[in-house]
Amino acid sequence: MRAAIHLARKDLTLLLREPFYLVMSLILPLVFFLFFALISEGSATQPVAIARESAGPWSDKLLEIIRQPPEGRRRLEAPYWEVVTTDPETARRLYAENRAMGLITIPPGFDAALAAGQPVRLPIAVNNINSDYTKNLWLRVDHNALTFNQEVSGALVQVQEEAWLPHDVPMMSYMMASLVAFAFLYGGMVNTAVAVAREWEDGTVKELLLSPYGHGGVVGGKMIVGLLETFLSGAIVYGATYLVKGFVPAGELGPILLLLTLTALVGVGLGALIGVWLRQVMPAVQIAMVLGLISFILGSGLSPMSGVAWGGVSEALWRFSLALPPTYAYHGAHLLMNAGLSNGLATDLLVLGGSGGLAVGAATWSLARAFSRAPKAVKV
Amino acid sequence: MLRLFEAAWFLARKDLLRWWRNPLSIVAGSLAPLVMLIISTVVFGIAGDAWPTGLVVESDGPAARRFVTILRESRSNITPYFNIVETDPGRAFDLARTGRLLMVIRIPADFDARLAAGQEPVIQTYQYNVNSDMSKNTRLRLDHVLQQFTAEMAPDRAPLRVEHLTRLPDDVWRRTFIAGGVFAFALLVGGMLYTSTAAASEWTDSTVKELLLAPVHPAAIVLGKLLAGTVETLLTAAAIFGLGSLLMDLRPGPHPWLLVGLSLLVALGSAAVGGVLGVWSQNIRLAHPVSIVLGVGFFFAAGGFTSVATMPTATRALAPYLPPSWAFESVQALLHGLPAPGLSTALLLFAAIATAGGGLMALRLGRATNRW
Repeated sequence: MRAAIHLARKDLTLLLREPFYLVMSLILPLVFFLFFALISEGSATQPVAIARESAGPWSDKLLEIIRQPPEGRRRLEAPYWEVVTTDPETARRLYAENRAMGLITIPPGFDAALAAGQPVRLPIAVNNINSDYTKNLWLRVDHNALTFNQEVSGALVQVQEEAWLPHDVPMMSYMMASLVAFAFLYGGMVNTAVAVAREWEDGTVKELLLSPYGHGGVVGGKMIVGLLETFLSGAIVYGATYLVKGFVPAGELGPILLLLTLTALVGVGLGALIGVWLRQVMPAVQIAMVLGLISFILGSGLSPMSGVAWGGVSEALWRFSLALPPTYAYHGAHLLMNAGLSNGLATDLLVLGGSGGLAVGAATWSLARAFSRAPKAVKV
Repeated sequence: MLRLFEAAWFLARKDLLRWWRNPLSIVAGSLAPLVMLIISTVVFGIAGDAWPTGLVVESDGPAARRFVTILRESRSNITPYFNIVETDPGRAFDLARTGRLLMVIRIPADFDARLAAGQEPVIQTYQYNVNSDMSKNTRLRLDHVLQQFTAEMAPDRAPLRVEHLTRLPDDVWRRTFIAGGVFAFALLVGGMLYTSTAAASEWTDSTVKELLLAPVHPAAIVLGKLLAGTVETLLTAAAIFGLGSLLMDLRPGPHPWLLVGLSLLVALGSAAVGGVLGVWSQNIRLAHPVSIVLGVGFFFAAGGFTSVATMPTATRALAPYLPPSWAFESVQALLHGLPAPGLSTALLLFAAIATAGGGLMALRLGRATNRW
């Protein structure tokens, strides 16, 4: 144990002297943070140019509906539109130059027609180079038209909404919970992979082998330092989510910490395996990046996959994801951090604990095996 | 002058050979675009806009049947809006409670009777609401159906009708758009990564002394590095484009030669940025991740993943000052046949970056030579 602590101290001192390695475990989560901030805002609120060619109470009402934030159960959603202009000439120019994806035209005679009780058309033109945004713009205008018609003429059909949770989980909160879990998984992989691989890359593995400590101490030291560094990088990522987005988990701290520790353990085990397999820092980091990214997407880190995976490749991928431990890390993180619920948490913890133990066991074996063989310096 | 180009060519050949012989270096520049391409195919390219939904119909009247028909036939430009996967009430609600369905819609038994009596029937929905973006999308789909149903059944209660227009005759699928973004991303990240690695490795491998003391002008070294980096980048981007064509219907668009010219300048400009990074850091461990992070950051923040016009206000305001956003926007416009008002700016910008980057590299190499 003393040996492990000494080795961990050595690696932590190296980390302090070369914080670049810590930065590597933060890079991808922070890029994700930027990405989430952009897509959650961009996906929720669409910029649109409006060419208002009619003036009067009806077009005023329509503009008010377009600008108002969602109400009722929808109140946790961001506003649907950001109106960039209502000047017809500017609106048409922005649309022509691809600087506005959508152009809503309130045509001349709009107010007069409605005042006379006649139907009126509301054209929306879309630069349709991305089907997702075309659909988003169209659906939003349909919603505005429905609201307008219901306010003017009354609803033909009412909708009574019920949901699993009393309030919707905002998209940003969903992603922040994913990000925290990802930081512990990915941090575990990168920090440990770097700590292991650099012994070969820096040519220090021989000294490590010839030290009076046994292999157990060396292996233990690498695991301890991997875990400590992961908590450091995980705390930094959580700090960013709190400071920038005010993210505060809804659930109790104890179960959240337990979930994150087991997630980190899975990452540490995988990272040690990657490090001992590649013995080079940069390729090890790249492999960790790819594994982290794939597990994040398949594990419902970006959005819940189970609700949309029906039939074909998508369902096969979702079923495959159930065999991956990170899926349970993200599931537990979402329920605990966003809803304070523990539905299925026992399964999540069991899977993570079991797979973490397996990964650490396999890493211990492969590290001990690698350390027991003659070291070979790798030239970069 | 001829001697300068000859020396540059020999240096470029040396770098190209090293690149070709080391699979890890090829993987380094193609891995990030490849992963993005595959993930985009998987996540954004499978189901289109059809969302799995439960539909429980308890009324057999003509109005309820018409509502169901409108719901089933409602569609975006590419696919239906709903994929009705369960109609049994017990199973549908059970699936929704466990997250296997995002929404169940229940049309009550008195739907027709209430309509006939001039009252409002009440449709019930149940959502698995763990992500507001998905909840919003399902609600908006139902709003579309309600608007259509109202316009058809009671035209006087739907005075406002939406007319959907598009600029292109057919929608570009999101996966195809992202494939275009990934292609531009490959040009940016490949140029930076390959050239920064090639430049920094002269220091890491201790070959820089021989290089600098060779009887050639530093400009030849710069040209050689940029040439090799640009060729490697274009080869990688071409492979990504080919894969995008196979998996995500990516096509070169109506002006392929303009696209080739733009790609060449973007690759050259990125190679110059990479070269500067390499000769100033002199360290692969630094140059490598910085190139990837810059590339990935620009992909998301400068128009690779989605058009600049759809981004939040602050990002839109910043975009004109980020050269990659000119590259992403122009590449997408050329690929999909839209006017490309920013094309000439993009070409000039990347030519200027290549010139400035080459100059900075030569300056640094010149200073390093003087030390020996």
